[in-house]
Amino acid sequence: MQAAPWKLSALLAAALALGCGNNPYGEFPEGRVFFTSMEETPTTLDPGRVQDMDSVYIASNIHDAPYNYHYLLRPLRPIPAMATALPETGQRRVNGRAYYSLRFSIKPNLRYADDECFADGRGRAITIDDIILPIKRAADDAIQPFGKPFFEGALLGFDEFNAALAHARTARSVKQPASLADDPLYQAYQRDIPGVVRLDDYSVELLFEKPAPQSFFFFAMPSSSPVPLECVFYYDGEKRPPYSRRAVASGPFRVAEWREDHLIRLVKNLNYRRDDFYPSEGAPGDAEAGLLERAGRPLPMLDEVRIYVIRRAPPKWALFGQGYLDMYRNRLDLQERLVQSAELQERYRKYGVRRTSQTEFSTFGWVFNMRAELFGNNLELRRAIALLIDREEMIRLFLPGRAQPAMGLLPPEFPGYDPEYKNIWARGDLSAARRHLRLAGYPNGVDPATGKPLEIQLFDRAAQGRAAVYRYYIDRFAAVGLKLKVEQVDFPSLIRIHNSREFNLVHWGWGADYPDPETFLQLFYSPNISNTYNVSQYANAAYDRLYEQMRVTPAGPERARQIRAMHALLERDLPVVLFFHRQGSYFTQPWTAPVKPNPIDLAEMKHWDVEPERRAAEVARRNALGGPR
Amino acid sequence: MIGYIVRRLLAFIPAWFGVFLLTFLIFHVHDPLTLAAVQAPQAPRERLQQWVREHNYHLPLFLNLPHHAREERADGRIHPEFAEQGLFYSQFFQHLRSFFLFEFGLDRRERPALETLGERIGPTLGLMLPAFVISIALSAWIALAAAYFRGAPFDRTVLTLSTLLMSAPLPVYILATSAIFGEWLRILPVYNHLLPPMLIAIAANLGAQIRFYRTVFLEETLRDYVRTARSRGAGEAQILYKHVLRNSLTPVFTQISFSIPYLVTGSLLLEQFFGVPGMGDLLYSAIASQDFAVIKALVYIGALVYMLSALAADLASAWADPRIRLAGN
Repeated sequence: MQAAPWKLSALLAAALALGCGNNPYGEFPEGRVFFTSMEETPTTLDPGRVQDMDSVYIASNIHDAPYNYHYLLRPLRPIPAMATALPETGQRRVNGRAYYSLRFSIKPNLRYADDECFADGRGRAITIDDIILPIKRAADDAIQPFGKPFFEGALLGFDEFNAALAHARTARSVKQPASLADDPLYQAYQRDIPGVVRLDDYSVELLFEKPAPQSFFFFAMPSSSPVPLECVFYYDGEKRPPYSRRAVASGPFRVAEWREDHLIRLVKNLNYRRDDFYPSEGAPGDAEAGLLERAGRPLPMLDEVRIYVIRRAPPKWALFGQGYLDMYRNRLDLQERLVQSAELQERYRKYGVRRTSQTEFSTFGWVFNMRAELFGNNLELRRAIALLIDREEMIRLFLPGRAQPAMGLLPPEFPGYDPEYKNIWARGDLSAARRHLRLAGYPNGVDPATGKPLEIQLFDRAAQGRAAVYRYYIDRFAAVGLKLKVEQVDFPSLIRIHNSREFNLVHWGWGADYPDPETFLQLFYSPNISNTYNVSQYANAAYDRLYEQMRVTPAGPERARQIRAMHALLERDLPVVLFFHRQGSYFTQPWTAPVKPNPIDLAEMKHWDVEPERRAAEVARRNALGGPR
Repeated sequence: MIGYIVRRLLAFIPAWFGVFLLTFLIFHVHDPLTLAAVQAPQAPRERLQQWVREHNYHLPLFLNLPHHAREERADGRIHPEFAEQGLFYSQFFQHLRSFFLFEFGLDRRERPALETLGERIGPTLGLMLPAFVISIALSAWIALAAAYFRGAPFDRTVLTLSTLLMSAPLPVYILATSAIFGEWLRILPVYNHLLPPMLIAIAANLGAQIRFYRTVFLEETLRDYVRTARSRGAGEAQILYKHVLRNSLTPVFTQISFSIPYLVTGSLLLEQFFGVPGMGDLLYSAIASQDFAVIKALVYIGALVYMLSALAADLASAWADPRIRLAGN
C-alpha cells in the first residue's frame, strides 16, 4: 500500500524511458527518405477525379502526364514529359470539312508501376490508348471531370460520346452486369470518339470543330495521366478497393502505404521513365540559390517521401523546429508566426532554414450581384464600397508576408500580367468613398427611404479567426456611415447563395488551373452566368466579344491589348472589388536541396533531395539536452 | 431484473428513433443539388444530378405518391418506375431500413462508412482506454486517501492541486506537455506517439474526478454504518475498502457511465495534436468535409453507446447497492 506511489512513478519513468527521445519516427529509416506534411488526406488518387488540392498534389507526384512545366524557368513553360515533343497544331481537312488539329506522340517503352491488376503483376507498356482513355473519361459525368470544359462543344464527337456514357451508366444502374462483356459502360468506353484519331500505337490527333487552344493544357494536368482501363474495372470498389484508392500510375513515385488521415508513404517507382533529369537551365538567380547544383541528375532523387497528415499548426512548428520535418509547405501560419517572432527568426537563421516564397496564381476580393436591386444599377455605390478597404493596410494587419495587393485579375508572373496596370478603385480612400456615396444617393451612408444607415450584407464562408478582419471591414463601413452585416455561413449555404444569387455582396476567390489568362477572364463572361463561374452575373457584350477574341489569340501584343481592354471594362463597370493575390512559402531544412515552388505544376517531389547523414547529425545536435533551441 | 432490462431496452426505441428522425431531417431537408455541389464543387450539373441519383435523393421524401412518378425529380429525370414501387419507396423508409441494418453508405473516399469507423476505433481505444482505467483507479485511490486524511495537510494539498488541474483547459495541457517533454526535456515526441496524449487524458480528468470521488467518499464516511463498524473495532482500511468504497459505487458508476462514450468517440483535440488517427479526428474531418455518411454513422453509433453505457451504469448500480429497488422487483 505504502509503495504504490513509488511503483506508479517507476512505471511512469519506465514509460518515459521507453519514449527515449523525441523522435516521432523512433529512428530515421535507411535511404533518402524525405519527411513532410499536409493538412488533409486526399479524397482520391484517380487522376480523372482529383479536384481538391490535396488530391491533386499527391496525384501529380504519382501520375505522369504527356506534358509538365519546366521546374525552374519563369514564366511557366510547358515541356514534353511522356510526349516526345510539344504538340503540332494546325488546320486539317477531313472528309471535306476543316478542323483544327492538335497532334502529339508519346515515347515508346513507358510502363506502369507493377500491380496485381496486370496479368503477370508487372506494369504493362503504355500506348496511346492509355492517353486516349482520359479524354474519354473527361466525357464521363460520373467522374467529376475537370477535363470536360476543355473539349465540350469543340472536340468532334465528344458531346455524343458524353451522352452515350450517360446512357450506359443508366443502363448499368438498372441491371448490374455479370461480367465485363455484359457491362454497358465497359462497352461504351470501347467506342471511339470521332475527333480522337489514333494514328499509331504512340500517336494521336485531336480534331476540333472550333478553335480550342486551351485544350492543350489538359495534357499538362493530372487529369490527362494515362489510366489502365483493366485496372479501373479490376479495382471495382466491391470485391476490391475502388480505383480511387489504388490508382495504378506511371509517375516518379507509387503509393506504398496510405493510412487514412495519418500517413501517405510514396516510394520510388522503379518502372518510371529513364529520360527525366534535373534541369540544367534556370531562371535568373536560380544558380545563386543553389537550384542548379543537381543539374543532370536522374529523377526522382529520393527513395521515399513520407507525408504525415498534421492538421494543427503547433505540432508542425515543433516538428519542423526539431528537424523531424524536412519541409514545411505552408500558406498561412508559419509565415505569420515568423513575422511576429524575432526569436523564431533568429532560431531559423541559426539553423540555416531556407524560406522560398512565391505568389500563388490566385485572386481574392468581393463581387457585387449585378442583377440585385441594391448594386446592379448603382455604379456610384459600387465605387464607394471599392474605395473603403485599404489593401496595403489590410495585408499589413491580417496577412503579413502572405499576400500582395491586386490591381487586376491576373497575379504577378502569370501570363498576361501587366505590372504597369493600376486600377483606380483598388485603393482605400474614405473621403472619395463619401463623395461617391453622396452621388449614389446615400449621403453620409444614410438610406433616404428609412432615414437610417444603409445596411449591407456580406456573405462569407465561416472560418476560425476571421473576427478581427470582419471588425476591420465593419469599422471601415462605419467610417462613412454605412452598416455592414457580415453573414458567416457554412459551405453548403455559401454554394447555395452563389448558385441562387441570393446576395448583394459576397466574398470571392479564384485559383488558376493552367497558365492562361482565359481562366481568370472567363469569370465575367456572360454565357458563364448559367454555370457558377460568373458569380456576379456581369453581362457586357463588349467584354464578351473581347473574351472570345482573346481565347484564340496567341500570346503577344494583340492579346495584351485585349486583356487591357477587358480590365478597363471591369474597372469601369466594377462588378468585382479586388483585394489581393495570396503568397505561399516553402520552409526547408539546410540538409535538403533548395526547392522552387511551382504555382501550377505540383509534380515537384521528384526534384527534392535530402542528405540523410547531415540530417541525422544536425537533428541529434538540435535535440540533445542543452542543445541549441 | 430481466424485466427491468427489457423495459430499459424498449425505452431505447423512441430515443433512438428521435435520433434517427433528427438526423434524417438535417440531411434531407436541403436541396439535393446543393448537397451534391458540396461534395463536388464546380462539377457540371449532370455530375451533380448523378450524385443525387446515386444517393437516392431523387426518391420521394416520405411517401411514394402517384404524382411522383410523373414529375421531374431532383436528378433532372422523370421516373415512371416509381409507379411500380410501393407507397414506402421513399428516402425516409430507405433511410430507416439502412439505419436498422447499420448501412451508412460510402464515405467521400468511396469506402463503407462503417469500415472507416472500424479502422479508427482501434487508435482511439488504444489512447482512451488505458487513460480511462488509470485515471479512475488513480483518482479513486487519491480521493480515498484524502477522505481518510480529511482536513489534514495531505487533504488540503490534494484539493488545491485538483482545483488547479480542473482549471486548466485541454489546450493548455497539450501545449505544456509538448513544450516540457518534447522541447525542453526532449524525452517524448510531440507527434505520432500515444504516451503524451495518454498522460494528458489522465491529468485532465484527474482533478474533477478526485474532487467528485472525495465528496462521495466523505459523505459515506459520515454515515451510521461507518460509526457502527468503527465501534465494533473494524480497522480504518477495512472500513474504507470494504464498506465505504462499495457503498459509494452507485454515484461512481453513474459518473463513469458519462465518460464511457468518450472512449469510443475519442478526443478531437488530443488526436489532432498528437497525430492519432482515431474517432475524434475522424469526426473533425467528416464535419469539415461534409462527409454525410460518416457523420450519420458517428451520430447513430454515438447515441447507441450513450444509451448502452447508461444502461450499464444502472445495472452496475443495482448490483453494487442492494438498497436500490428496481421497479417491478
